[in-house]
Amino acid sequence: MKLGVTMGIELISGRLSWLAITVVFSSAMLVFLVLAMKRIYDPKIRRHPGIDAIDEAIGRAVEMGQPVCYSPGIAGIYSTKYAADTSAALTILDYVAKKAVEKGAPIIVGVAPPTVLPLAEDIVKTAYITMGRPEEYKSGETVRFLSPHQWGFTSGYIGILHREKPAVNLLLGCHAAEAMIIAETGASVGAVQISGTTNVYQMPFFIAACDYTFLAEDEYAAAAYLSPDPTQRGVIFGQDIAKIICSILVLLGAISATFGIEVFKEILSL
Amino acid sequence: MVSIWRRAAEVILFIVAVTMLVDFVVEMDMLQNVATDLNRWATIIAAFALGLGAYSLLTRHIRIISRKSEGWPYSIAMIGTMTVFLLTGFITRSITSDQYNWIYSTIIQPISSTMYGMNAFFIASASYRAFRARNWEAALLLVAAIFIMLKNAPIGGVISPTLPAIGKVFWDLAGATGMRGILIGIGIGTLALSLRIILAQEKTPLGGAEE
Repeated sequence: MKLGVTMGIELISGRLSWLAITVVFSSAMLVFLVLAMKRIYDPKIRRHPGIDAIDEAIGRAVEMGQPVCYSPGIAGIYSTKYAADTSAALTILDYVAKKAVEKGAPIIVGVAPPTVLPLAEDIVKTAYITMGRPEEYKSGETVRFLSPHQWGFTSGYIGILHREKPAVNLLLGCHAAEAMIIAETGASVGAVQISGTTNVYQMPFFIAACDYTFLAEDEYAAAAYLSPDPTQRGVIFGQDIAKIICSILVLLGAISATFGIEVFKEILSL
Repeated sequence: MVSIWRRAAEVILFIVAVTMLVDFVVEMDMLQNVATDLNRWATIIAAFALGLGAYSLLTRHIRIISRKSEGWPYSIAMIGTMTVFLLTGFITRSITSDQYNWIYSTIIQPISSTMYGMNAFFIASASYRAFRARNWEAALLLVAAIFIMLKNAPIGGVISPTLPAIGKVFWDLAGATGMRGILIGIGIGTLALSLRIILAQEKTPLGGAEE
């Protein structure tokens, strides 16, 4: 469909409905972000059990005197499909690193994508500086680049698990077929395992092998849960409103499809 | 206090994100050229990051060898392999040469396949733990798993044609609808996260967040 032809700008066919839905959903999130920012409405969000588990697991690592291992996944920060996962994993890393340094547990981050290495190094180093212990950060040891190759990374990471015997193993971000090998190795060394993924094919494996799992968008929302900033909670509340709108659209779509009404389908395919 | 560099990075991120979003929706030659250039820059920056990764890997393993830390001979093997690969690439001036492909297909591929094959054993051990009926949810998972297995394994149909049919009901109704619901949630979650990043509410994608 070509809606506008002025100035050589044309709307790409089939993306009008995408644009409309994105604008509506983003508006819902922005409204609650602004309301929360101006302290007009501070939404209360249920605390995710996985987040409490992170705090408890770090406490366990301190008691046992063993490290916390963290993997932000195998997808790069430029990955078309999984950049959001990596981004969420880095946000959670920020929280985990600060908590671990604050409580005195050593942290080891295993990195696969080269684009994530400088970010992970900066996040962990900043955590050490913020907590007043910059001397404890060991360049090349705290954050370890293992391999950009999936199985090279896997063998490197399970090697760390076997040698260091961590008390906690966190697997966030995008993980694929290697997830099971890493998670089972973590279980065999007795680590408490917390994972998160938006890869629907990996969810069952993580649920089977790990103690706690952030399912789907819970991984993205975890960053907002972890933040004391109310504006983050505002976006999450807006996200829930978007989900309600989406549910209504699904219901309308199901009813119209049942009765053979094509209008709804045509609108959504514009 | 937010540094001027960080603020500049946030502004650049906002402009780039909006440009890419608009390019996804509208067809405009100038915008397409800009988006293509931005993608090229991303690839170039990623190449620099690979160099950084290689440097980090080398320095760590050289340190392990010089200190004779535990497992130091493995570090020699790692650096040796890396050097052989680099030299093969430089000498043949190609990463598709016969020599390069030979190393890849005779060393890396079999090792990767072996690692992948190990999944079968790990899946079995994880399934054993997950499928213990400790509560009613785990019991439900166990029942669903049995029917799905009987749907996929030939023995299910041999025992009774009803068993694969029940498995198909679990697969099509519970599995597919659940997965679609999760995918919608992921889509909205991705939008919310992107919005937080674009509006600089999410600090970590630009590195360590100062407090």
